[in-house]
Amino acid sequence: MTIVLFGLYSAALYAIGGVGFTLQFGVTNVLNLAYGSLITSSIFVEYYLTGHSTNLWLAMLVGGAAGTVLSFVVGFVVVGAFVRRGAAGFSIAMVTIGISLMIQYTLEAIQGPVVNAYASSNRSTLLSVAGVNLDSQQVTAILVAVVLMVVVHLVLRLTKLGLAMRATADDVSLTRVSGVSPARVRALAWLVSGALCGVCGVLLGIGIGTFDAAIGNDFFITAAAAAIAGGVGKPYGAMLGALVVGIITQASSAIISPAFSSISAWVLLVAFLILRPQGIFATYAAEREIVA
Amino acid sequence: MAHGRPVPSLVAENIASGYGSGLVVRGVSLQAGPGEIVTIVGPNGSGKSTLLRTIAGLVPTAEGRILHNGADASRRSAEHRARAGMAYVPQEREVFASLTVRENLMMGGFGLSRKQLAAALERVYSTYSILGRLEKMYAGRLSGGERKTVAMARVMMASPDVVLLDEPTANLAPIPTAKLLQEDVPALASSGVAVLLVEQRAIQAITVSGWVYVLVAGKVEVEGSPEQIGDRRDVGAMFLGRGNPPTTVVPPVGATSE
Ligand SMILES: Nc1ncnc2c1ncn2[C@@H]1O[C@H](COP(=O)(O)OP(=O)(O)OP(=O)(O)O)[C@@H](O)[C@H]1O
Ligand SMILES: [Mg+2]
Repeated sequence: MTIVLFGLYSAALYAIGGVGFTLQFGVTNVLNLAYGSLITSSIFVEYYLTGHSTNLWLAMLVGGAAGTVLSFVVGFVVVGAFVRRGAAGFSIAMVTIGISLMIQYTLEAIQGPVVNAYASSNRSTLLSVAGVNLDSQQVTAILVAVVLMVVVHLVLRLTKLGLAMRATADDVSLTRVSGVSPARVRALAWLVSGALCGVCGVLLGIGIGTFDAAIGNDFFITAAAAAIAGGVGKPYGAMLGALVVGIITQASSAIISPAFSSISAWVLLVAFLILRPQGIFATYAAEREIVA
Repeated sequence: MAHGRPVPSLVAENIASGYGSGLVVRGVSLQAGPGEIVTIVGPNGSGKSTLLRTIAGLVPTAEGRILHNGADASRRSAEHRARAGMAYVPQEREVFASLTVRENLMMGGFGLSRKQLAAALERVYSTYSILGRLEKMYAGRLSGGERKTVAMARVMMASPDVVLLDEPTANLAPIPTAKLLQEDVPALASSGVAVLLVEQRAIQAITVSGWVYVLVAGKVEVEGSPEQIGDRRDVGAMFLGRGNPPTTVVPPVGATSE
């Protein structure tokens, strides 16, 4: 029960980050390995801009806005320039690694030798189930994740933007000959996924309480594992994948050792890639026709 | 060589195109007008699909011009041409497999207002009666014939004035093939659309056509009315029906270009 509850909290963060990542990849076809450093950047912006505020709503607003802008600049402007010149696949992934390192070293320079820490707010226990206490921050994160997932679902299913995103992810040429500009859809995908990335970042940073210039990287591996578990490019898969990964990483840190939790994320990632690169829910997703 | 052809809404003037540095289409001129079915036939790899992709704007025009309703479309993007009334159904991957049939149709009518969309849906549902039954299904799970129907209906959503069809009968059984070539395509044309059709089932397609171009190695080798093409034994033997040349043994007559 403990594992499930804490797993739920981890899953909330992985879901936000994983859905952002998978949506971005699905629509833009860019494997953005700088996603982790964009998560980190959002925390940095929030931390310095709000004067270390731990007010979650303010943080999500500022972090979300930062993520949106940074994602657009990195994805649409910089990576987009390479894509428009005809680069694809592996070379694009390399470009994003380069960007990721640049961001990380810049943030390290800004941070200096100290570890950034939020003043520990009085985190009152809000929910107490079976001896497990979830504080208000954690409960908020779970609720925010649920709301965001519902919003993503509604946007994908019911709006023209969602339709255009799913069409672009499916077939770019067919989208173009339908009179829809994929460039515009991609621009919007960078914005939306950036917002998710930023919100995820501040929830992560404030949740842990301290952070450095590498915080996003480990988290990104796990969020990517969640996205891959669900089949890359499939937002519903990423939501389910986040639950599985959240609970498994919590279980491994509870049963084996907390130090093992990020190792288990790596193991999961590699295992998914070897065993079911199309996603553990591929058959389920196909049967239920929830591929997005 | 007017032969009573309509005033063209689509004109290709000496166009050349290809992939990378190599040209596949080399100096093709053709035209199609309202109400006309214009068929392009030719051996595999002769550049028929590349020609249609060039006209649709998915492959850049290296040389020449494409005029759509008198305006030069050669440098326009594919999405711009689509919005200007040019529709294209590719040879493969002709539907959005991960979208439902209804969502495919909505993509076809993406630029329409809510009201226009409802009207367009009603129109294509009454033209293609099977759509109502299929609307909630994912297009990727349809049969080949159903997929072709959805693709046709999708492009009809936007009421185009030029429709490019690349082998719409590929992988179709004889009955749906006959329905498509003898009913759907002529119905499309008689609604005032200019249809540019690429077909392997040359004889069936030519029968319903107003004009035929024979494309060989990226060039128009022969063009003419169906009668003229059917009468040419050389064309029949070389390009039509894949080893089933027409049985007519009339000596060549009439206009051929080049
Ligand atoms: N995407 C592509 N990239 C590079 N070359 C291509 C591409 N598509 C087609 N080609 C080449 O262009 C030539 C013409 O191909 P195209 O598909 O236009 O012929 P086609 O007449 O439509 O043939 P088919 O009857 O088999 O459909 C072929 O030599 C083919 O290898
Ligand atoms: Mg072809």
